[in-house]
Amino acid sequence: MHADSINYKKLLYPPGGILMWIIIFIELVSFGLGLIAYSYFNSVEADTFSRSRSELNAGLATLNTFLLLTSGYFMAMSVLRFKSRSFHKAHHFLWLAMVGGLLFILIKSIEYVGKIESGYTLSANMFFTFYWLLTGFHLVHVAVGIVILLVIGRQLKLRPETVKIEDLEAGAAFWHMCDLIWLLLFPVLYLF
Amino acid sequence: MTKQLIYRNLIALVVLILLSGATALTATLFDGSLRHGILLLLAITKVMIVAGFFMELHLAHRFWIFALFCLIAVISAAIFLMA
Repeated sequence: MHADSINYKKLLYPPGGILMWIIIFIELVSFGLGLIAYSYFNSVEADTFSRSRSELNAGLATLNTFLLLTSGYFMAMSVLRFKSRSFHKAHHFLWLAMVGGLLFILIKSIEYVGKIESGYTLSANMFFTFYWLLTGFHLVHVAVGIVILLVIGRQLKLRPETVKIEDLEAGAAFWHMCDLIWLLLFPVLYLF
Repeated sequence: MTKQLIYRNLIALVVLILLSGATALTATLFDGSLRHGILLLLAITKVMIVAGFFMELHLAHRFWIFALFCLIAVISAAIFLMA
């Protein structure tokens, strides 16, 4: 289906498709509940949380925020280029979005190795239990997002005329969901 | 039309990066619940910009816009109250 023929104003056809929006809502609720529980224990064990938070590298997390946001921009550009039938440029931007995601994973891995070497594992204390669970699940989402983009990117390169705008928009919506979740995780976990 | 959309997205990206800088600055400058409030406000604003521009939520039925923003507001309010 061509983008011009989709009526996004219909309730059942938001950009990316209704199924993807249901997934986005479920994910936001899940991470939201995790963050609410984190905030509760933060008030109960304020000293432990404050001490543990100072062990995190906010600089690396800020860099990761920048990378994810820029990657989200490239993804949005890919969809725009696809809609204007510039398949080559759409593919180019899709790859740039993936590179942003891969760099995010690389930096997160460096952060994780540092924490493990310092003995801050899942069972170290309540703060690090939340840290590992929330950031770990988010990282899994980023990895899944990269696989989705990889599949779409491959098709976009080999047979661009067979790629449907719905598929690309669904992939983009999933990718932006990773941005949304990180934008809530970052200040609460690293800066609160 | 496409050029206009590209510029709008670029402006959205610049605003998001500026807000990220403001987030870091807030964490350094402020203390206590004021800091929590500002950090969450900045996070909500960034989420709205990503959803509105990058996810092209402005194209969607107003139900989705309203529902997403309500959900983010409820989650943020709960985080703030718990903290």
